[in-house]
Amino acid sequence: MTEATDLAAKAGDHDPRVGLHAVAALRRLMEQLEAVQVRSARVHGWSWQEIAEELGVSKQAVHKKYGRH
Amino acid sequence: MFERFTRDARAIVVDAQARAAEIGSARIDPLHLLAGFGRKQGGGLLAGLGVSPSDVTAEIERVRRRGGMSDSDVEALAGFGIDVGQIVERVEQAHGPWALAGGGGSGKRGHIPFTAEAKKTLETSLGEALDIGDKFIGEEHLLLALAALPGPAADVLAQLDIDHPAVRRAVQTRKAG
Repeated sequence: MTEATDLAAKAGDHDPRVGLHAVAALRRLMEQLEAVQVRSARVHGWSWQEIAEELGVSKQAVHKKYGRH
Repeated sequence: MFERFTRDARAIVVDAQARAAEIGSARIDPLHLLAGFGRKQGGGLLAGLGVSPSDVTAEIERVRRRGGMSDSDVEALAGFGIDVGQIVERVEQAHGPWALAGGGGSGKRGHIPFTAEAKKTLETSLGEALDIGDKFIGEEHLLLALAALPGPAADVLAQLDIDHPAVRRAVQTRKAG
């Protein structure tokens, strides 16, 4: 352990592991939330184009991920 | 790599695919792989670890309902001020119970791709096999990989008091017997 990380550990705050774990978890949670919202939009009759625009991604990307064909 | 898989290990992967299709997941993740152990009749490996298949299944379902968030994920996110329980509640109010458990899969038949984490699990199972001098990849090596890699599957196992050394010991006991 370097002096700096040792000091950080002694200070007992901002454990990088917890922060990184949270980011990884958030990424997975975001995927699930996106899936729920896309499914809901489809049920409400939204086109892939409309969904893609709202998500800020290409129509191809969203269709490839969630499409039926 | 798949040619090295035993029949049991293949069955786990096939089961993971079936499970992903069943709940409409767009990708096969490590939790789907772990679910294969929960559904296995007899569950020799898990029994050796003092856990029943239904315990594993129940724990996976609990995590799935929260969008794949394990207890340690929930705790880590709380550090960011994110209340996972509240998110799940709101989403379920709007979209129905278990809304976060699916995954936006198309429901189409056929090939469901693996997540990067699931691929890593399969690769790691090869490493686990080599580590203990096995030339094949069996379900025990898959379970070792699931326990070794950080993520919801390892968290679920940890919740049941199963970690990598524990699986290692169970595998060695089984080999000796």
